[in-house]
Amino acid sequence: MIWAPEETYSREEIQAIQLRKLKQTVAYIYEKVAAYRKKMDEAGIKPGDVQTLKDLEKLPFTNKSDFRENYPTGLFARPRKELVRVHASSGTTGKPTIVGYTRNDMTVWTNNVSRIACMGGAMPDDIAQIAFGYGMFTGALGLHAGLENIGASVMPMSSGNTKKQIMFMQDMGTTLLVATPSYALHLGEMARSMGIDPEEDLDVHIGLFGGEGMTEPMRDEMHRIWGKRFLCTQNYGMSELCGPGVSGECEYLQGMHVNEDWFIPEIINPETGEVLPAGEKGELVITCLGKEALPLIRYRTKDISRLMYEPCPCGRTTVRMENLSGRSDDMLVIRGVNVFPTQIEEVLLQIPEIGPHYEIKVERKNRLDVMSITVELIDDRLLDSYKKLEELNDKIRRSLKAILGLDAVIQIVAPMSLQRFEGKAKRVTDLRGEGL
Amino acid sequence: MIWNETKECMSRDELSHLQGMRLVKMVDRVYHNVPFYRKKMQEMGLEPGDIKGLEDLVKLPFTTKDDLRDNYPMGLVAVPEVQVNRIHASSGTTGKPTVVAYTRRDLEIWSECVARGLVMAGLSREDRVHVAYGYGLFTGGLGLHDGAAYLGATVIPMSSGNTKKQITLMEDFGATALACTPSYAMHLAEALVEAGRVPHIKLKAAICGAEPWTDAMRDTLEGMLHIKAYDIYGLSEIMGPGVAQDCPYHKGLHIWEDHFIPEILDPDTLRPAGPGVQGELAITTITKEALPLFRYRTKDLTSITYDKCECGRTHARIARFTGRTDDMLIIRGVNVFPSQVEAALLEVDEVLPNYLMTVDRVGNLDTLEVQVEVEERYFSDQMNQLQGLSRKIEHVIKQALGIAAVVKLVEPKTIERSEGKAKRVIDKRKLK
Amino acid sequence: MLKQLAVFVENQSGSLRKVTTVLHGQKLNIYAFASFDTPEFGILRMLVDRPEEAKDALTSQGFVTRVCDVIAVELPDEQGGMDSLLAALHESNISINYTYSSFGRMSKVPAVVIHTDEVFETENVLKSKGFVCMEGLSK
Repeated sequence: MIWAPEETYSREEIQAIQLRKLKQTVAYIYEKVAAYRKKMDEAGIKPGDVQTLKDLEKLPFTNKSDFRENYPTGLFARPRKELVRVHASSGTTGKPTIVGYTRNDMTVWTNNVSRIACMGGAMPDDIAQIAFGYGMFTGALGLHAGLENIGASVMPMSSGNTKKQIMFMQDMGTTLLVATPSYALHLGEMARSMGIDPEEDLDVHIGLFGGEGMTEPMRDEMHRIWGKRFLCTQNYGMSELCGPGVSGECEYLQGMHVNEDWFIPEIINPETGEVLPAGEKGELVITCLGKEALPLIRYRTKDISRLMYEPCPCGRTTVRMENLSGRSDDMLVIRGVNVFPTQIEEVLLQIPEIGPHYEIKVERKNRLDVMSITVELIDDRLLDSYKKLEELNDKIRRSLKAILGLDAVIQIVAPMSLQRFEGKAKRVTDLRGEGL
Repeated sequence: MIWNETKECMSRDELSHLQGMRLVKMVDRVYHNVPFYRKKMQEMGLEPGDIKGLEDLVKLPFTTKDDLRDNYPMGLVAVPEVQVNRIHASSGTTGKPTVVAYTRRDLEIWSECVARGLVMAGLSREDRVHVAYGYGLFTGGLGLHDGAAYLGATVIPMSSGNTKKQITLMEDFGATALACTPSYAMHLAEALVEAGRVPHIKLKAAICGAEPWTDAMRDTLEGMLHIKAYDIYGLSEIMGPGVAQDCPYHKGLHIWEDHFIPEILDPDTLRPAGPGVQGELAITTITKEALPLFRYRTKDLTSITYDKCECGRTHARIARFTGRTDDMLIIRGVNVFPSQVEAALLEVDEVLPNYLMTVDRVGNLDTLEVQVEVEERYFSDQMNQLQGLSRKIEHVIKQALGIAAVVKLVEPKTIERSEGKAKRVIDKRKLK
Repeated sequence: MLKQLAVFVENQSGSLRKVTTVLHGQKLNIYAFASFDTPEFGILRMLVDRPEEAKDALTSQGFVTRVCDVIAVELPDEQGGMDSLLAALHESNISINYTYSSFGRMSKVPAVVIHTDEVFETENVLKSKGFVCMEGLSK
């Protein structure tokens, strides 16, 4: 099922829509968002200078740091009273990145997610179990609204409680699962360990995965655990752009179709900022078209991908972006949550009992990401009792959880046991390999 | 302000007429679509035609939580599955939850009921509603979320937990209303006062529910944050939050009678008691499509008044709840049955299903401690093995109840045995 | 009262030895030694003959160490000794944080090392009840 006619427009029609909306968006953002106006003025560009899609290249980039510098709502183009929803994601430091939506933005977002759900095979009679964490994270409420919009029965399970998730799958006859791919693997394996064969005993046959990239080995593993007929697609988005709904895979699994009437993707060389020719790999940059509350021009996603304009057998004509193949910054995606090492550092520096050196290790155990952070103890007063050491451990864990929303395993070691670096410190070891 | 004046301020006659009409239609629909009720009615010799108006309500059978359990998961649903648009669940008395379903229309009515309450609390589309109820299968989070969205306010879907982050966002984004359990509101208030941040927030109202609280707690909360606080009531079997809420006069909670018919039952005879008399609240839904229920026994103790309220609304008011007729506990807004803990402990080989739950309130947050007897042969001399065991039990309990408990392992035979019904719960909380 | 040396050790093989090697290098003598099977990290507690010197030596090698007061009570080597000690503490409402055993080099009797929240008061209580508390480890 193809949700919207725009998904099958000819290249000329799509480009005509893009150009019309781009001109409007540039004029709108120049008028409403002082921070971006300043950037354009500094670059010597006026809205009228944008006459073709190629002119997009003249416009300045927007970075995550722009959110921080304009925290909380300096990039918003509408007053707060016109917003109907607010979400937030990790910032690079302690303050989150806040995003907002008008009623119209919500409608567009919801429909874009409905498109992605349909690409992934969702139908009105599906029973959709959403195992993303609900709340400020856009994943859960985004998929929730998009699936409810097409008429599916939505079960807002939220994350965690694996046994209950499996019980609901059995008892309610869940047909569609929304989760991070690694959690889906964990769920499938847990079901198997409970004597349930997902292929035989469960009705789940559609997986809409996001929050973290799904590698091809992970997809193979998914089929091994959930069965050959399991249609598992991934989709892409980030809260700055709207949340999920930017792009998604169709049943042909040849890259993620971008909702091009709402987003213009570009691929740039992350070092020089220059736009790369079609088909080359580089950093994905996205311009949001027609967003009212939070218009963004040339947002640097830091995700590495490639664009493919060849037609897709599914009938959609929209450009596809290849599976992400890394990041151009040091952001980690742990259990679907974006984590910047700078956030962790900021927390640790506020705890006087430990030294300034730390190590972050990320592994995958039983399909689930585990982050451990090693810190050096410097305060000898804690040696009075185990309780004090445990309290320190707890304090670090809670402070990190408050900022990251994630549990970490804290290891306290003696001073000078962590490696010292001459130049740029290597604080992060990611042992997750191919994502299995 | 009144959101839907036509409905909220109907005269008693009009309201009774509307209820009668809707009841008749609902009984007919339920009889033909829900085998459980058809069978019950047939056993009582009732035909849909026997229900001619509101006065015939008492002829209908009661519904209990057990009926939902016996028809788990979707046996009482009155529409084809494809029309179900949302599913929620609440604690069951044993391992299986109580599952409830909604059509698109049910969701819309639910949102409107919540929006009526928000308007009653002085909010409008220009407000920013910070929803700190837990999101997920629990109806609290998404119920308030959808209601605030229906109103057109800005929804901030914080979900529960992480007080520090809640405060940061409340301050930085300038929320004007807070929706959460009363005890969590108190906890947030204390944290705000302690951090000296009260002058920096813009809250003007709090909509609190999912657990009982008192007027004294309301006064404290209002005083600490300089806000007005409102009591919202609901249960997922009936709909979720928004079945009833109090208005600025705080003389009981208006129950939305164009969708729900309340009755107060004498707990012993189960006969309807008159206005002002304390008894168990039973509710009949008259507009629900997916899960219509006859005379659902809520087990909540209250009384009702039909007197017109100074606010202008005519819908009946129920008094604040004074207790329950069963052993259900509400801990951090989550309904907990001791039998759930027992069922969970049966999964753990190393312990005996002998337990003692202690519920307390520390700094406005409910705490749950569960003492469990370790089987003699599993008693280990290794500290980390015992620690591992307590963590395992904590995990099992968390999975079963949805809330965290502190598990204390005790030696076999240390928990007092009683001759008759064992004392499983000590509730030290005093509603101040 | 005696000075106890506490050293933070990680839960991995060889970590206790690293401590003893340093002490050996300084020609320090260990009179009592306690470690427990805690999962994440350990606090190694010791009585050594020159605690401050031991602390300096370990600190210079990167260890986190702490010297604190404990009581070592000499108990005659006979039945019921420990029981009478615990009874005395219990009567005075004193809770023990931890204990381990040692040996009085001078008196040639076993000794129990005790730590409580109020070490000074505890020692006074015990002395007043006739217990012998060690004041030093060797001549």
